[in-house]
Amino acid sequence: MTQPAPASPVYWRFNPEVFRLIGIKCNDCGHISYPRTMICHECGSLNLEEYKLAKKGTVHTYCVNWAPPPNFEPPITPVIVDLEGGGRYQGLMTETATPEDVKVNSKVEMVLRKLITDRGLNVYGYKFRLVEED
Amino acid sequence: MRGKVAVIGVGMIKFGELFDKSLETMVQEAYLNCLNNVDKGIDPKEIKAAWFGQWSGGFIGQGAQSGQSLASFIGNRDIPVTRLENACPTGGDTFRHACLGVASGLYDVVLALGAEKMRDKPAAESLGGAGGGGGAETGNHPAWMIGQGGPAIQALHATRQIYELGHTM
Repeated sequence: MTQPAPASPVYWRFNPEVFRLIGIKCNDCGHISYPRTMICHECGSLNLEEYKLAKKGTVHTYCVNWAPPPNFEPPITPVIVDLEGGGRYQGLMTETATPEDVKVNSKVEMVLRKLITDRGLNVYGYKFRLVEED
Repeated sequence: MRGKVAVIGVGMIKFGELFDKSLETMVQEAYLNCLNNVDKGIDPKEIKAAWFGQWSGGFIGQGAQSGQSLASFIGNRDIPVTRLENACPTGGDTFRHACLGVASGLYDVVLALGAEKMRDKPAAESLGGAGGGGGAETGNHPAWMIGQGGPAIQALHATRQIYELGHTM
């Protein structure tokens, strides 16, 4: 897909999602939809309430991308994370010594980072970093 | 609809960067391979309709063709052609619509053909730019669109499948 330009209205429209992690929880089936939606993606229910995603979770899946889109230095490590309490978040790893440190089930947490500099503008959002296992 | 549908010929060309081949050449080679694959042969004019699958011509450099261009490519300009663009399911959906054309009783013989001319743009645009992939959520979330792209999203699926089902590369 094409990355949105930093000045795109999509960043303004999804500000609550991007910076406050606001999603939707279905009062009928419990499914968490994120970004927010008027109709539960899982069961079609309209009985929904806002739900704030947790910032911690475990890696559901990952890959190492050696041919990333423009404005990235390879390699980058995209991940999909199962969050504590439910919901998933897709993002990029940060602060890994090597991409090989990331595995399925690795414990991670969100940190606010600059995602990209594009056309002279910075775009911020959450990335994931590994957390120490107890 | 009670009509039964049979695949009577298939044709494909070798995948690759194929810088020396145009979209038209690729289409024509696959089409001729398909005709030659039909048992006891076929008169191409028996094909009365076609569906042309293209993941997204406009994004990746081949230009957004009309379906009708396929009719010209195969020298059968009288037939109607629908161009079908449906992300990753484009191929399966193109085939499904061709089957419906026969099963409905409207046509006896139809053509389903898909082609992508991906590498007339640099890799960062044609490969990295390709693919929403993530479905309803990813295509909606601005931060999720950053640093992704079709191959990365498919790789994420592959990693999980290897983990769950024990597949090997």
